[in-house]
Amino acid sequence: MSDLNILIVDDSVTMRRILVNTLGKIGYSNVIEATDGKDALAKMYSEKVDFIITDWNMPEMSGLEFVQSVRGDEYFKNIPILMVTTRSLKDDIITALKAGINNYVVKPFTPEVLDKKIKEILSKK
Amino acid sequence: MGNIDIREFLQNLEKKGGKTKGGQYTDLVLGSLVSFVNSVVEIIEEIGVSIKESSSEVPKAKDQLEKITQETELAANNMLDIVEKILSNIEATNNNINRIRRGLKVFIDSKGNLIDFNSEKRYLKEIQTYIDEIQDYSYSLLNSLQFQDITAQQIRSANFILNSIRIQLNNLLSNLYNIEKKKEKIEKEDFDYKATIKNSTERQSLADNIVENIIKSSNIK
Repeated sequence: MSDLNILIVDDSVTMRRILVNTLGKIGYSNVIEATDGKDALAKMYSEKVDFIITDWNMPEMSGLEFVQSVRGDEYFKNIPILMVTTRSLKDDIITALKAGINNYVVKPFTPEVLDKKIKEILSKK
Repeated sequence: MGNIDIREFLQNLEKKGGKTKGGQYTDLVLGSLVSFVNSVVEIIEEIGVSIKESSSEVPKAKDQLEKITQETELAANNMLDIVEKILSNIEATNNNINRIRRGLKVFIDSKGNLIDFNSEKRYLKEIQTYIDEIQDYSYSLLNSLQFQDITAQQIRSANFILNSIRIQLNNLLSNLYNIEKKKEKIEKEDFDYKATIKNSTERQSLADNIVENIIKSSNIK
């Protein structure tokens, strides 16, 4: 089991539960949950976060706005971010990369893809 | 139509038509015109009523769609409860299998000889294989529940379209009845109207190629 603290940002309770279970299967049991970008930023000030998995389409603050906020913050800017979203158009992926994500996973995903992407990001750190 | 009362206007026109010195032809033309405009007004009034009714039906359709999202979310989470229980039982069973395995190593008979538990070990291996398969199926089931997030996005998209229609109809009603009302604007909402369960492998591989190419070309940090 890894001691990495992973923040999951997704407005869907179903998706958050799926992510928590899948992360547990692939060896990550320290998980913090947030319902949107605003909630995630608030949680980041109170809990230690080493890695972020975020959705794109969310109320209040979208995943893209959240990524921009994290990258613009002196304290959080180096935290790796994996975007997990239904959006899979070329322009969307480019926009997310330009905003500062480290990698991209398309929903619905498999545990193998999620595991591979997390490992890829961590190996480049 | 401006601020003119169309019925009053037509009644005046009818009276004037009767008093015209232009003869029968003018009366006939004016009479036809008045009856034509009257029927047009009736049609417009009927359209207005239909628009009003349609506009009031839209929120009901919106509520119904929201209910579908809530119900499917509830059902998906009930299934998640069950899958989590199965996974927890699998973990407990695995722990017990390992305990039995460890225990079998130290069994000796009354004469001090190590007992051969080969057949028991074989059964345990088979049980372990079944348990591993059940675990894999449970995770597959868990991951297939991602459909709920995808259908929720599609429903949000349909709701957005319905709300846009409601706003357009209300604005049309305001124009039709000359009601001074601030026009409602269609607010942007955050959803992926193209969300789909289909071709996720192909879409992931397209994403991988884009990510790889962009990182390689170092167009971004």
